[in-house]
Amino acid sequence: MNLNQKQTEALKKFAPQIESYSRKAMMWVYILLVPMALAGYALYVQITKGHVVTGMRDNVVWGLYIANFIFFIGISYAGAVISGFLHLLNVEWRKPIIRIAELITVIATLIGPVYILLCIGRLDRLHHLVAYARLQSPITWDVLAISTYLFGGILFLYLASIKDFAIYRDATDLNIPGWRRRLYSALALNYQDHPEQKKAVAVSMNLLSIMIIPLAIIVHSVLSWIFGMTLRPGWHSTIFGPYFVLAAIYSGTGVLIAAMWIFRKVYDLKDYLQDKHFISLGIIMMALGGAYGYFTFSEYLTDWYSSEKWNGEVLTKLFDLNQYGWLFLFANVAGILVPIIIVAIPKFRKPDLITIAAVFMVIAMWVKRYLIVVPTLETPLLPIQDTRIEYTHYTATWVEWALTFGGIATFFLLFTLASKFMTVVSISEFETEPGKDE
Amino acid sequence: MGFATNLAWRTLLTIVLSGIGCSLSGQNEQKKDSTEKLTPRMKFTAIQRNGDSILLQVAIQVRREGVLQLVDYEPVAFFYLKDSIALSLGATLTNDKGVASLWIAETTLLKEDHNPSLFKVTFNGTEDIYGDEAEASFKKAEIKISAEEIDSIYTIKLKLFASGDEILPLAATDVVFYVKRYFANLKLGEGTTDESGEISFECPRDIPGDRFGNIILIAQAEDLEEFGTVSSTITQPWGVPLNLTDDKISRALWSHAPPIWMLTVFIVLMSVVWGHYFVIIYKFIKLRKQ
Repeated sequence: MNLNQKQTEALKKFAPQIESYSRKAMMWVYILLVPMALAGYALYVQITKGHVVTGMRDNVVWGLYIANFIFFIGISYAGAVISGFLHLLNVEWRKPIIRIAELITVIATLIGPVYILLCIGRLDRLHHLVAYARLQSPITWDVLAISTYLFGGILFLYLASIKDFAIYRDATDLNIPGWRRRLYSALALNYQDHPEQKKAVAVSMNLLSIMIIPLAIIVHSVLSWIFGMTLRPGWHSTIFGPYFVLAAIYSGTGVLIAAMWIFRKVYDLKDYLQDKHFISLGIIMMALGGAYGYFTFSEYLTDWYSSEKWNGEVLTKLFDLNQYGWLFLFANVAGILVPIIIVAIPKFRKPDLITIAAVFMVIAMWVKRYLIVVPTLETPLLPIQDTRIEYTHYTATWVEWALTFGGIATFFLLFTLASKFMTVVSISEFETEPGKDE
Repeated sequence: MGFATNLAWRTLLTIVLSGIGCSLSGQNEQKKDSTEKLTPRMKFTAIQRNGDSILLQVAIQVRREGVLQLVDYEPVAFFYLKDSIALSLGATLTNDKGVASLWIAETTLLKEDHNPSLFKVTFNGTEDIYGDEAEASFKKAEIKISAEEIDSIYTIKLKLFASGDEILPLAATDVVFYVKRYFANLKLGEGTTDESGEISFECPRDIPGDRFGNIILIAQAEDLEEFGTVSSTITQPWGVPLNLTDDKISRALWSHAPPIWMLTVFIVLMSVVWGHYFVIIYKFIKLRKQ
C-alpha cells in the first residue's frame, strides 16, 4: 500500500497505540478484570443456586438483565445509524469517528444478548428458540433481527477496516510480532489499493450503509414490540417502536461522544478528534433529545389522559417520590433537559461539557430502560393475588449488579483490546491534513 | 417593579403553590379507625374426601359499619384436640375470600369407633378485630362411588356410610352429584339415600371432557351435622373428547402456522438483507483473488 504524507503521519502518530501496551493500559485492564471476576463468581452462584439469587420472582419476572439488554442494543445504534447515515451523506467530518462508532456497534451487540441468556432459567432449552420457533412471536423476530444486525455490524466494521489492515500489513516501521502481521495480511484479503479493489470496497460500503440503517430501525422496533405487543399497562403503546428507535440513536450518540472524549484524552488525539466533532455530535444529540422528549411527553400524556385504571397505577408509581419518582425525575432531567440546555447555549458547547452531558444522558437512558421494565411488571393488568408480599416488588440483588458491572467492564475491555488491534481513527480515510476544514 | 417582572413573580408563585397543593392533595394516608375492636364470625367446616383425606376450612368475616366483610390474608392455626391437648396441625393464611384451608392427606385423626374427633381453629385477631377460636367435631364417613354403563345409560352408584370398625349406612341423607368444570362444579343431580345409604344417578352423555373425553364426577353429602361434608370423586371417560385443533383456522396469529402475508414479509426482508451480505462476501472472495 502506498501512503500519502497525511496517512504516513497518522500511522506514525497511531503506531504506539497498537504496537504495545503501556503501563497505564495494563493497569486499566487489571482494573477491568476485577468487576469481571466478580461477575464470573456471580454467574457461578446463579447457575448453581438458580435464579432465586436474583430479585426476579413470579410477578416481576424481568429486571436488570432485560434493562441491560435493551440498553446495550440501544447504544449499538451509534455505529449503525450515525456512521451509516454520515457515510451515505458523505459528510467529511465523520471520518475520524467512524471506527469508534462501528466498534461500539459490534461490541454492544455482542454483549447485549448475553443478558438474555442470563435471564433465561433453562439454558438447556435454548435450542427451542430455533427448533420450535413461531414466526408470529416477537421473540423470534428479535432473535432473527439481532443475529442479522450483529452479522451486518461485523461486516460493516470489517469492510471499513480492510484498507487499514493492508496498511498495517505493509508498514515495515510498525513494530509488531510476526503473527500479528500475518493476521493483518489474512484480514487484508490481498488488498493492494488497485482501482478495481477500491471500487469493490466502496460499492460494498455503500450497499451496507444503505442496508444497515433500515436494519437497525427494524431491530430496535422489534425489540420494542416485545413490550408493545403485550397488553400490559405502560408497555402497550403504538409509539413504542419509534420511541425505542429514537432512544437508541440518542443513547448511541451519547456513548460515541463519551468514547471520543476518552480516546482523545488517552491517546492525545486533539488534531483528529477535534472540537467540531463534539459540537456536531452534540447538536445531533440535542436534536435527538428534543425529539425524545416529545415522544416521552406524548407517551405519558396519552396514558394519563386515558384515565385507564392500570395505566394510572403505573403513572402513580413513576411520579410518586416514595416509589420511582426520583429515578423518573433523574431520567427526564438528566436524560433530556440537561443535554438540550448545555448544547443549546453556545457558551457551553465545549467538548468537556458536551461529554458530561452525554455521560449523564447515557446513565439516565439506562435508568429509563429500568423504569420501562420494572414498574409495569409490578402493576399487572390482572391484580396480583395470593402471593407473598415480597414478590410484588423487585429489588436487584448483588448477583445482578455484579453481572451488570461485569458487562460494562467487558464492554470497556473489548474496546480497549480492539483499540490495541486497530487504530481508533481510520488511517486509510485520511486524504486531507487533519486540523483543517475539509 | 415592572410589569414583566411582576408577571414573572406571580407566575412563579402560582407554580410553586400549585406544586405544593398537588403534592398535598396527592398524599393519600389512610387513617386508622379509632373505634373499638370488632368481633369475627368464624365458620369452621371439614370436607372428608375420598375416604383418604380431610380438608379443614374456616371462613372468617366481620361486620363493619353494618356491612359483612371478609377477613383476608390473616393467619389462622388448626389443631387436633386429643385428651384436651391441642396438637398443632398447621397454620395458613386466609385467602382473598376470607377462607383458610388446610389439607390433611390422611384420615387417621378421625376415630374408627364412630366417636367424633375434635378440631379447633384459632385466629389471633388484628389491630381492629378480636381474636377468636372455633371448635368442631367430625365423625369418619365415606362415600363409595362406582360407575357403570347399564343399558347404554351412564350410571353412578353411591353408598354413603359412617366408616370405621363397623360400617353404618347413612340413610335419608341428601347427596348432590356434580361434574368438575373449569371454575366451579356443575350440578348434575341430587337425591336422598335409601335405608342402606345408597343412591344412584344418571350421568348425561353430552358433557365436554378433556382431549381424551375424561370427566371428573363428584358426589357430595354437604354440611352433615356429625360428619361435615363428605365427598368422593371418580374419573370416567364419559365426556365428549375436546378437539383442540380447529381446521377452519389454518393460518393465524395464534395458530401453528403464520399468516401468508407475515411469511411473505419475513422471507422478502431476510432475503434482501442476507442477499446483500452474500453479495458483499462474494466481493471479498473476488478481492482476495485479484
